[in-house]
Amino acid sequence: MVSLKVSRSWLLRQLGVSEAELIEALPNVKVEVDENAEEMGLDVTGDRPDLLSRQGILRALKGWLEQEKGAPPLKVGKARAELAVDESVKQVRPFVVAAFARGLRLDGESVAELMQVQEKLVLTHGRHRRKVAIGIHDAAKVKLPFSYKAVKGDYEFVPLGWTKKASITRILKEHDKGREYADCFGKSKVYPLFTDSLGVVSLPPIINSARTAVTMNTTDLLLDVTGTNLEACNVALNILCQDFSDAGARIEAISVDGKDYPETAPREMLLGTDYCNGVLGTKLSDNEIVHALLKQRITASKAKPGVVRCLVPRFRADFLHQIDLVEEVALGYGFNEFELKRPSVYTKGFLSAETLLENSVRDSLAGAGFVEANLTALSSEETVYKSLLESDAIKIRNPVSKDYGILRSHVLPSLLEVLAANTHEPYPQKIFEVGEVVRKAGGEAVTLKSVAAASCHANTGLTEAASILQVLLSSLGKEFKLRKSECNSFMKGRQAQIIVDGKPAGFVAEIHPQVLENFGVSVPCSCFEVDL
Amino acid sequence: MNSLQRSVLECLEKVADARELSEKSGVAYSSIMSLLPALEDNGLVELERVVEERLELTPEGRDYAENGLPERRLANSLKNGEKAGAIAKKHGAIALQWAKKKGWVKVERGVVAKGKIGGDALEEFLSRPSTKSPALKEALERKLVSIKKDKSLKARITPAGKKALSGGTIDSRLTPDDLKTGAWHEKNYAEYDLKTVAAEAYPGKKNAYKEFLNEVRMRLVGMGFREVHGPLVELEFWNMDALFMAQDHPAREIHDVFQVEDPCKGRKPDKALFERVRKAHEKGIKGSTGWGYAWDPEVALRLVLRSQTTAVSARKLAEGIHPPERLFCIGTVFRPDEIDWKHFIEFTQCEGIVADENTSFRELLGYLRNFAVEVFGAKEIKFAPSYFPFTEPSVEMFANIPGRGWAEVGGAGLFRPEMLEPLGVKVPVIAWGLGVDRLAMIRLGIDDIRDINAKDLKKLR
Repeated sequence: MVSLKVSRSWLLRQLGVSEAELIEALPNVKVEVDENAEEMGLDVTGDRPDLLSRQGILRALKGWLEQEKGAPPLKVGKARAELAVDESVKQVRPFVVAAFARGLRLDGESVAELMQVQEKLVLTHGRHRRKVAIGIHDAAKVKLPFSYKAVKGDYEFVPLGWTKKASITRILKEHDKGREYADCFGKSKVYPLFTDSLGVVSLPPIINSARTAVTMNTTDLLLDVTGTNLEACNVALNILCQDFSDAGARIEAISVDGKDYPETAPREMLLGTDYCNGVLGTKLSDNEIVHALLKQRITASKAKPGVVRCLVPRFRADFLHQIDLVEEVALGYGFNEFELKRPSVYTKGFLSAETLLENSVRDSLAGAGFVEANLTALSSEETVYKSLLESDAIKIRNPVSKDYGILRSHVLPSLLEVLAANTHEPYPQKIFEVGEVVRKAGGEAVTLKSVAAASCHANTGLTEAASILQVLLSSLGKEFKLRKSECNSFMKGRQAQIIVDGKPAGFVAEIHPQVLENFGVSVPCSCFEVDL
Repeated sequence: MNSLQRSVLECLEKVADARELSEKSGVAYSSIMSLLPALEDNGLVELERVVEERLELTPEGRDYAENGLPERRLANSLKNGEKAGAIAKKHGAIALQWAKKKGWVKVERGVVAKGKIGGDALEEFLSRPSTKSPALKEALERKLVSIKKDKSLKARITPAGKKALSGGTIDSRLTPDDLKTGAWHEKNYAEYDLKTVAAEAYPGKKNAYKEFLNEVRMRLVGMGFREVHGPLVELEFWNMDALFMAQDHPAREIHDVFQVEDPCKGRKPDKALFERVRKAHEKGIKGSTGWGYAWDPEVALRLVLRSQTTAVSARKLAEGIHPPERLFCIGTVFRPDEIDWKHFIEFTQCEGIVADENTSFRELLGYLRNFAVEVFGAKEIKFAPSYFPFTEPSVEMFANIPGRGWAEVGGAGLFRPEMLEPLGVKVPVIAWGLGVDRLAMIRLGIDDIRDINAKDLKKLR
């Protein structure tokens, strides 16, 4: 989800509907209302970069409310400017497209809106500017011809926000935007530059030059879009141009290596009526499908009986397959208009063997007087260290906190943490958990289920833990043997390995006083843990 | 009546207050105070609640009681010819004043001389405080004593009490011997005070959240779903690639999924499947354009903590299914996030699939309504379009839950053809997920999501 702010009164004015009608309509065009205020907080799903502006949302709403139908018009004037792309950029940021939007009247609100669109587009569609970045400039301040080329780090210009010339190397190190986005270049020693005859226009995807900054007096915009995927760049330029065109601007193409951009030719797709009805479980006619698509701002018409021809505008980036048209039909039809279908087939439901086993273990131990905990699989190295168990836990490369830096390989340390957190509570304290653990086996990380129980009171001992273990395993119909063990976590001569079916399956023991001391517990504790 | 109660009752021939009873019976005063109301409950005594005044020496009073009054110490240590100023400095101005007042010293021209030293009622009072002492006023004035008010009891034995006394000895417990020998016929056994008979006990108890998950499981089983599981540490292949999530999808970034170290790569799945998934991503499959990028198999082999239970669904679909088939999985997933009352990095997802030749979007909506009613107890539902990378169309369900109001309770959709085709699935598949943690919080009255993993025994017991 991407959050954005849109003026409610602006939307109401443009649509001429009541506030209640607006609130009801928004979810139907995939816009969730997070906060209904004058500055509306809206959430848009990640697949719809064309909805990241008030113009985009307005466009979708006009379709849903049937004020306009089919793809919105986008008139693009022939290119008079050329942009030469130098071979040198191929290795660092290969693609660039650009256009002019002329005849705008900007005010504070529309400049803020302009910045929001740009920011949200490059964040999501542009993958933090890596895939696509946008520069918006005052067209009156640039002078033809344009070029796009790569230069070395010592190249100097005045970046937006600064007043003096600085080298690219310095900008990347010291400018806010430089530090934030320098990663986009990877290990490249050359940097892409969008220039005009007066000097630098922008250093994509980092920063524009100070010279071309947009002000309240700006009427004509130069839009540059650069990136690593040409179609993704073209989609972004289409979104911007459609937004500005809807707002009354004249769009004028720029020729990049002989080809005019934005490339606006709609994508033609065919949708089979039977296919569509099969997926949706409906009996819609060709005309009903066409109607639903038109509401979604897709130009549609009957190609022949049973086939609908669709022209999908280029500002839509989410069409890979016919199925994506089917969703548009469902959207245009209205998700709440469908007659719900009762599930029709019979299948037999049952619990997994794992859950059945887990439940009988839980019954046994609760019946034996133990209280069940539900602890996290994420644990900390410190907890394992304090329990003196040998650490074979899986480490997380990017933890958010030291407290959750590993996946536990045993449940017992989690139980010791519970005892440590409850030293003020009355004893006896008897606790258990059946939980998932992850262990390394043969170079792989294996998830398995394990049960651990701990009994903490003045008179506990190995005998108590072993009898509870016996109750548990005999209730599961398992026989077990105990084999002498030597683990630092437990008291010498008061611990054993549990052998089930001839294989080690866990341990039963009295916790070593050192471990109790590490956890700040001053009451003896016996325990067992066994793999299920 | 137990033996202690009996010995108190025996001392109660006439009216007595609690303090007298304590002295007579040798039972501590505090015990008497708790025994008497129990006897009253049993109708053996009548009680009168009284307020007793009691004198208590202040710290200063206790000091004087032990070490003597300052004026006494002054008078006793006085030598001839000492100057008043020096004396006041040594013993305090107050001591000199009181010694003068009591006539124990005389002061003439700044020189202190011995007067007539006699006995003192205050000294007697300090050694044995009494409300009748003539020195009480002086002691109160000098703040050497304070008056405390105690609630006490006066008791009178009732006829029933007298009768109970004549009944012979009382035993505290019935023994196996009593039963074997038949001695119980002759014996009297102590009666319990019903107000205090129940002691705190901590029985075994199953975890409320886990019981809640079991309830959800049973409802899904009742609706024809079969339970499945999958591993916590998962290949990105199953967690993302097999779900047709492009490798540059934002949800695959390091901020959105936990990666693991050692081992950091997992074992390659079936080679043909691997290549089909590559093709779906790069060039598209079954009428799709694909994502049009170079798919990196090394990325697919990275190990991550499972971030969505859809990974389990993908595995099960790849293992082969026999439609019609309904599966569900309740599993732990992990996502990096801020940790606060609303967000935790480890949580439970409940998700399932329906694979059936004739299933459809309309049937999916029908399933969702059933979940809302059966699992969430909802009265009303509504749908909104949504987006998930692996489903199309995608839908979100909101339910009006009694006691909570409208809440988002689940997301669902039909798996994309680009996902199903490489997995070898030839029928449409519905996928749904339910927000069970949200429901658990409503059901269990939890307002901090971290309490699902509470360590506090007070909450667990």
